[in-house]
Amino acid sequence: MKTVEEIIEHALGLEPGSVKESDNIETVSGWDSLAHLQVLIELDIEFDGKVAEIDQLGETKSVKEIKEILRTRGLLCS
Amino acid sequence: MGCAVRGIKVSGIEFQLGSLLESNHEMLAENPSWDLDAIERATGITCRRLARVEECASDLAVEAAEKLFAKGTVRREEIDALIVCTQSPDYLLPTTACIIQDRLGLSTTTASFDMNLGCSGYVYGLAVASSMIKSGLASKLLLLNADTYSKFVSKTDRTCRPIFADGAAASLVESTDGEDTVGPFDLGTNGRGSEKLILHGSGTRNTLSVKNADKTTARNSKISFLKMNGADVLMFTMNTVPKTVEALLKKAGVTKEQVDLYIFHQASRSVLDNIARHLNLPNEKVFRGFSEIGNTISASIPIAIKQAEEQGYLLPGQKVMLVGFGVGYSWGSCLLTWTRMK
Repeated sequence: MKTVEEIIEHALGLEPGSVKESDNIETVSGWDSLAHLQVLIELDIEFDGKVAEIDQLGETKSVKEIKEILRTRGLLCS
Repeated sequence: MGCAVRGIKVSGIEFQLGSLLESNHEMLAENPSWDLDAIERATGITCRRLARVEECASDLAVEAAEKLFAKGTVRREEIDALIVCTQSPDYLLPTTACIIQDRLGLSTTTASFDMNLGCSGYVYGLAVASSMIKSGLASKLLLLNADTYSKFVSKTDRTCRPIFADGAAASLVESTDGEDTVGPFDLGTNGRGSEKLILHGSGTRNTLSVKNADKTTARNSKISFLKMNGADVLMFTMNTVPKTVEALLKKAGVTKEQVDLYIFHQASRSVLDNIARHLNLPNEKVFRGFSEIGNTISASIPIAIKQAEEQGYLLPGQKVMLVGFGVGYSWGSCLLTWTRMK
């Protein structure tokens, strides 16, 4: 299973290792509101459609926020 | 209307798009920092039909309705009910349907009213039309879906401008002695999404304040541009639309595979692709007609039906599912058994 960082890299077409847990929509090249749609779609694909149930993800702006929500919903291990 | 109605039928659809054609390159010329490839990948829209400054939703609706009359689908004196579904009314008051009743020369015995709904408005319009006809309140109902969202969109708004377009559709919904071809319906609402797609300042909340009864003009009136949180709206569509589809299939007692064509609100490529992915629908069963038109709000479904019929995707006897969803949040789905239009 891909990590959240890897999913974001794939969604944005970035080199492996270029996204860190401390990153957010301001610090990653190309991660803007439009690209965020693709991030959400890739997350949903990776988690077998379970991400679509989590409407709070629409408001996320950072790797940490995404991970916290996924952990809360039991989709990521602590 | 004295006798019981057996069935309801959509007997004709005509549409009128905004007069102007705006290409993505024109949009890019005004916003050179935008990544056009990324926008086109996400939206699937290459150009939009927009209304001229002086062209209102009511004008487009009247033109669409006149096409129905010109084609002989129905005579104007036969219309006994008029529903205008719009979020771009000529005025807060009077009701746009009243203005259109007069412009179309419909009888003064015509029941006329507006519905304020966006992208779910066609399915809701069919639901109300169907109820009115079955209850004997109407027998030939004109359903007009018309919007000019582009008038509310900032030219620098990268979320809204590449998507929204202007258009109107006129549908004749009438009683028939044959089988019922419209329904069942599944309708829903989640007003917690109301801030996610909103036109602040467009009503009385915090903006229109006539403090002195003697003053005849509203004070502090300031309409802002349309605001859409694209990520939230995408999440809503991926979560809610598959559920209304499944609920309707259950209600109708048919399988996903027994539906011949799915006509979703023509929102954008990302939205339709992801709904189709969630429902595991084959590409050929999901109609897409928005690439050179844009998203025409509640007119998008009837426009797509007309396109699908003209392109040979709709044949008599086929089962079609219509699914509208968006601003509100509001959604609705219904089944049609297709019959050839007049």
